[in-house]
Amino acid sequence: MKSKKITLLNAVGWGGTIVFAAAVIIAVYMMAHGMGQVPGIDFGPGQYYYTDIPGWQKYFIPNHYENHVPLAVLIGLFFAWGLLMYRLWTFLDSKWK
Amino acid sequence: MKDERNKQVVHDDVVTADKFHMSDLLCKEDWLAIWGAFIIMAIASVGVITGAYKFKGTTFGKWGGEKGSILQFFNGSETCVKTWVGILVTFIALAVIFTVANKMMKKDAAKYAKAFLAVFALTALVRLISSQVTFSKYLEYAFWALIIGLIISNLMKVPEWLKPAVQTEFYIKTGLVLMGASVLFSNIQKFGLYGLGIAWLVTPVVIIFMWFLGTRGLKMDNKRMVITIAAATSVCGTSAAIATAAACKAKKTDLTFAVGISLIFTVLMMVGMPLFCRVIAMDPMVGGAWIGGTVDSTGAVVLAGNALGELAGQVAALVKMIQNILIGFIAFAVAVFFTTKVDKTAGQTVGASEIWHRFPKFILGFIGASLFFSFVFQGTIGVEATASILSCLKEFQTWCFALAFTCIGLETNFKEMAEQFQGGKPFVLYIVGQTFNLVLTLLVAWALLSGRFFPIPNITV
Repeated sequence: MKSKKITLLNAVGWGGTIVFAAAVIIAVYMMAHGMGQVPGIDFGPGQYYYTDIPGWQKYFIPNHYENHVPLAVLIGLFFAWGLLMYRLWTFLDSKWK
Repeated sequence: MKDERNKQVVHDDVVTADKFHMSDLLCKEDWLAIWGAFIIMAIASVGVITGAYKFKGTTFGKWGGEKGSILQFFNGSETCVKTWVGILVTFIALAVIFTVANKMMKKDAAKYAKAFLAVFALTALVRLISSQVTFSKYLEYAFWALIIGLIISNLMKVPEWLKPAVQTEFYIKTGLVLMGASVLFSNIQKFGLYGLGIAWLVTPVVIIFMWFLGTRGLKMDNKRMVITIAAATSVCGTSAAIATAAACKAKKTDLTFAVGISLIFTVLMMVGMPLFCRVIAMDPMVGGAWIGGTVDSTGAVVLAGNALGELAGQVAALVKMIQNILIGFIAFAVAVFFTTKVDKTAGQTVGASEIWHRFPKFILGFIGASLFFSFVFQGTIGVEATASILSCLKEFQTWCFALAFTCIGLETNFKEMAEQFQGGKPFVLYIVGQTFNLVLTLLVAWALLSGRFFPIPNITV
């Protein structure tokens, strides 16, 4: 039974490797053919973080949405959900060995 | 004897921090990374606020195709002089910060300075190659730094005199504290409850899902690699992987795997997702939010979003902006989790002082910089001036990360990478995790933005 599980995991692992190898080939093809580009935009996946984008201020500084929810409420919800998820993570990790 | 040797290898190989004492403030890597980054921030900020000088990190402009030949950096032209002078200033600033820090860590500063010159020159070569117009758009420095470092370390032996400057962790920590300044927490209100819902509801669920998939389902022993890949998948690719790897004391090969997988799939998702959205005639707002919540790299998010239209591009940028905020908090949570749950021995209770001893302190610098720029600087000097300071800091941060990735390449051999391959499980973890992320984010984006349950937000473009 155990060896069957190991064999299944091995097969899944090799399946993942094949998908990844195919992804590499497709990605190289896409890059070589300049796919996914948009006229007037001179950046792409190489700009990992928002300040890496040339002229990032244009995209990230102006307000495009009028928010009516107070900042304190948003921050409260942010931490409440974060804390809840952290507790769930630690709970499940201790229970599911 | 063999065990001792293994312990040493493990010790040398992690992105880590040691136990804390008060004297560490002036002689330990984590704290020196914080002070070094704060000094750079202070000098740049004073320059912007007073207007007396400009202290800005510089790199090569793009070259190739319409951008001109690579020779523009070597022909004595105005571009050539301006570029090299800027890079020289960047080099001097970083060399002084890192050399003084090494002196304070009681290391040989003279040997370090000599070695740093060579590592910086190698990194400059990396940045020159990655500035080629196509490479710059799709891959950038992390890929080329790893490739060039790996080629050197595997084809020839890294010379002993170079090793004092191969300090991956130090460069990563300094770069992360610098990055903290640009993690503006006030951006959480840019898209109100919609943005918070899409970016924050899904992210921790995906991390938890991938944690159990990797550690229980796929039975991966390397938990640090699991969490590094999970953070890269659910938050924002390379940047999140760097922060999380440092927070959980991951091996360099773990970070290499996470970044490599993320870079490849980001290209596929950037091209494929807008096409898919068009084929099924998905609402641009839902499509933009879906792209913003799932594509790893921020540049790819903006590009893919705009491929769907201006509205989708704006929504994608808004969602990603909130995800960028998460980096520090996820890294903090991961550091606490690993300190209190993973690294403790069976039956051991980890008290507050022990957590403090083990906690990677540079994260405090990261969060401190984020809070200061978010709530003090933005409120007092204004959004525009804050943005100018961030633009000055950006290249210092990127040089730190590029130095770190070059060092990772120099320290990694193919045998070590093969050991971390684990029968392809890291790939399965990413593929299944990203698929789960895609489905869940689409559901949440549709629920919040389709107008079926909540009013459609009014976005101006």
